[in-house]
Amino acid sequence: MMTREEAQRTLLLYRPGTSDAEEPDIAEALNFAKQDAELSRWLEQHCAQQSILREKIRQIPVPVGLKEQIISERPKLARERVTQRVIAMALAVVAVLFVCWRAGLIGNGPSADENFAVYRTRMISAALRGYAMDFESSDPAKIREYLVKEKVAKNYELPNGLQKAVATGCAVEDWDGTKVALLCFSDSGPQSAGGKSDLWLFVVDRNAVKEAPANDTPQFAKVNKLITASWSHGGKLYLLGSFGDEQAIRRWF
Amino acid sequence: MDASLDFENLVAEYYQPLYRFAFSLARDEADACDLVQQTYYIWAAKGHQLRDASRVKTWLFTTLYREFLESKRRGSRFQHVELEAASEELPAAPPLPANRLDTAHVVEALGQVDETYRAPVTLFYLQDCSYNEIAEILEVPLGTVKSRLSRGLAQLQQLLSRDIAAGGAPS
Repeated sequence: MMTREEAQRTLLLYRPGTSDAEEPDIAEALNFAKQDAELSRWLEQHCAQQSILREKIRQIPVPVGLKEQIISERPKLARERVTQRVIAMALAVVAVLFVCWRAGLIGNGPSADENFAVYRTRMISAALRGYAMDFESSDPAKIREYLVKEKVAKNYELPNGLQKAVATGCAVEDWDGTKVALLCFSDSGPQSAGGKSDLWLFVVDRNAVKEAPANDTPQFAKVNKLITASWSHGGKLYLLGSFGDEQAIRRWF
Repeated sequence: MDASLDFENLVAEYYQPLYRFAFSLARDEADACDLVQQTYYIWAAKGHQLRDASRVKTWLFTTLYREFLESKRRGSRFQHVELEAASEELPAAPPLPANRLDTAHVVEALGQVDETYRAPVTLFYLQDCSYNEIAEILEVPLGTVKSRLSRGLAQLQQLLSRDIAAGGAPS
């Protein structure tokens, strides 16, 4: 037999209007409350409070445009799956694509889903969300040596300003099967290798990203919390991200 | 695959509760957006393996929670606030004056609930998840869910009571 305290404690987990009442221990506590005026009054208040809390938590504002952003950045894989649902149509598409390819109408470039805007968002997201630093060093030469060994972004060129930044290490990211070099720096001054990075440079083969910037004039854009600069040079696409504003990132050039 | 599992349908149906769950965990708008986007990215890559449409909600919330834990493990970027003396058994506090609660204060108090308890409490209110569903999403036994919920709800109530007593919540 439950005590009032036990019933009250059990009923803390009770949400009116849900299937909670079907839970055996809650059902027992609810029955107990029916026979106990004091507990019954407490339960009434508790239920009112649960409803209010539920309502308030469901009112947490959601950023405008999030839905559109998710859909616009929908990965290629999702669309492929939709295509797979209509096998006959897919076969027809493949046939048409094959004919076009034979006719030289289709190159070997990336698909529209692999465009620059998606690449930029995904890389900046990787920088912000945390990544495993593959190689920690404050020595730019050693970082370059490591990336050469990993066969990623050979012969990359840093802008003059960025050559003076304090390196912290590098990592290798993936973009649809193509390796991306992530060079990490510290904007806030010298610190030990592997220390916190707040300046990131992504370097990838320019051909791997559709609609990449055409030349070495940096394009600036705010992405998530970071200001970014993007440019192409020597067959490579560069994406630099840092905190601050456009003025702040310009000093790295 | 079930048409209800179409990418855009799933975004429309779940992006808001997923964001609210993410926000309660990360306590930062950009991080929460990021977690939601990452969840849908993983869905796009692996969601086709899910055959049972009725489990999609659990799948999305589990994935988001795993991503949060993974991000925390890799970068420790997310805030973690411990409530002092949270570990001992908390008493069942008297109900709060419900008319004195507003969303901002509830969210703020929720953010201060110990992280271990915050996820089940948010799921408890946000989606009316059953205890079994919460257990599945958080990948912990049912008994653990109930125990964490009890403590989490008591903490939330204690924080809100303190807030109201201090005159923090507007009437």
